[in-house]
Amino acid sequence: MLKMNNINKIYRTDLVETHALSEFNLNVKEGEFVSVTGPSGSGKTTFLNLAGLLESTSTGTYELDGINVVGLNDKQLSKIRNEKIGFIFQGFNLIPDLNLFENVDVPLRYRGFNSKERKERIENALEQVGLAARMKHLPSQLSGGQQQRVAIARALAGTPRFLLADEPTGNLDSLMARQVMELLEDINKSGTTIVMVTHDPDLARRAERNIQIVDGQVCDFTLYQNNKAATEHAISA
Amino acid sequence: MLNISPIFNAMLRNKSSVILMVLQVALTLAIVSNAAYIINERLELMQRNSGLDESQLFSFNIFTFDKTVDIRQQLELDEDMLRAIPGVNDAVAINQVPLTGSGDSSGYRAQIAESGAKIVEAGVFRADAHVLKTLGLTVIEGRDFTQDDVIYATGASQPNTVIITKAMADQLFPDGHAIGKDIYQFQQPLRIIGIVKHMQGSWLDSSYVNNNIFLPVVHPRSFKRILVNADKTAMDKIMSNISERMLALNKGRVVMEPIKLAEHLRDQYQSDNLMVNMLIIIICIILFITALGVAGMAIFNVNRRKRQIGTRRALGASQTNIITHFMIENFLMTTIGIIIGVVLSVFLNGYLMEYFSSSRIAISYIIVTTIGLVLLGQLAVLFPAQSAASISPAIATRSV
Repeated sequence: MLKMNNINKIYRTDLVETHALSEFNLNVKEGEFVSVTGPSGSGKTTFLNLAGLLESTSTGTYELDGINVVGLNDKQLSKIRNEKIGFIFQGFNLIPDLNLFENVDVPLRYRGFNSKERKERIENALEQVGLAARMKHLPSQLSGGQQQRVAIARALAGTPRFLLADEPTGNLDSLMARQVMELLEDINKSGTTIVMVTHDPDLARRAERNIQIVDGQVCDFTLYQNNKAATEHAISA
Repeated sequence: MLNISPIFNAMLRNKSSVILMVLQVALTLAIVSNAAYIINERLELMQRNSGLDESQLFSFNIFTFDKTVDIRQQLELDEDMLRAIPGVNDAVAINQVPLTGSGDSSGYRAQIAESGAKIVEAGVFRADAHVLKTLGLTVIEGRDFTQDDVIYATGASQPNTVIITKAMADQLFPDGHAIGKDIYQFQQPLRIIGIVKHMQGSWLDSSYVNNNIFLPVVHPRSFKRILVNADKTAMDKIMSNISERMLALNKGRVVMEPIKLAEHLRDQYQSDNLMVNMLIIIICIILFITALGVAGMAIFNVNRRKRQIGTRRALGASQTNIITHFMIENFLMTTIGIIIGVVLSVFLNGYLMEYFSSSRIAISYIIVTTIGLVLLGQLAVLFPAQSAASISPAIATRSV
């Protein structure tokens, strides 16, 4: 589903050159639920932006669902984002002036569905997250957990093959976080590939596979654990 | 795909900024359409054909203070001298000069006063048989005056014959047969012997500016107006030494500075010209302010909604979708403003009709202003919309 090879992402200013990702390699299979963790500044958000086609790579190759996305123009990238990727943001990113129905409708309109199909998809998506009864409410009338569920409904309405979640529970209390996580697990069980960036080790463990990013590279977890154990042993000795 | 309904719904949830924009567009439409209409009214007024070639005419006044002078004889000498100047086509002593804003008018009837026939107001021009040639007019029906028609009168004596303009003839005799008919100021009949096509009188803003009557009568008085028709090329030279020539004939008088008829005409339309220029400036300022308002509002909205725009881009909006979003938003606000503005335009026009003698605004002015405002709004919003489209979708993943 997602294949990144030797990806480099360099941010340049007049004075500084920052290597956000270096020789980054990752392969996510279809239907996988992968969590991505790492310390602050490790390159998690850069990975998320590249994976979600929100930014372009400096070098390397990236295939998403069999399509080489490097070098595509804005229109082509927008179409892939719209049709193949569902986004769930930490801050929900709902549009405050639009009600729940209209919020979920946003990506569907860009997709060009007719009004009947959009209505059907919106109602199903909101039904799936348990908010069908509140579709005429504004986001400000909902709790944080509810808002995140609307964001999930918005991501699901277009039936994407790949869901990218950026700290989806970061702004929620533990009860809400658990509910949202369960929802994501259900979505994954129905066949959608999920990549979730998180700080929370408990959430990361619930994914099928955990990827650690350290200094802009995927860290070999086994090697990391062995090194860590050896270091701790040496200190205690 | 057009997203009119969600954009409209979102606008309704942000009333204050929308109301400001809508009001600005409405007021702009009302003011600009009416101002443009008034400008056109004034321009049409100023572009009217006077019937005269103002560039060939000039006039001056003489006041004879020497009581020993035989005014009639002196007048004949003066006219002969003027007509003999190389470059002068003709010259005549006349009671009033057209297009100057000062003169003489009276009412005439197609029948005697007791009949109760309609009075037709007209400018009254008294001069000798050279009057039409000096003014550059020709008769389209009947004949010109001869010297036999002319009377020299010290009192209120009236000649027997008159020449009138076509406009006056049509009002007095709507059936179109004026030649040979008599008209009346008082009891004495005045026989119409000729009709000239067109000439504007002295008061350009009067309702009877095109009604003029020529009487072949000369009143030898100490104060006289002289009208001269000269070749354009020789005009300045003739005007520069006209005073010397006149005084050479008789020093017992004051010869006032000659003034071209074109200058008189400019003076007459000075206030109209001023109004046109003022209104053009006002229109430019208002349109500039409106364009700034539209662009300012759009820039404010782009800055306020950066994260929303990034989110839309992340959800699949192309750069074109973002530009279209802002264009539609502006179009909707402009459209609401235009609907209110049309009503305001009509009310403003009604006020101008009642208090400033304006006429009913032509619908084309509202339509053209409307199209102009829509284009102005779309142009003003284009740059902010393009800057919105350049916002990276990656802004959606940045921390709050």
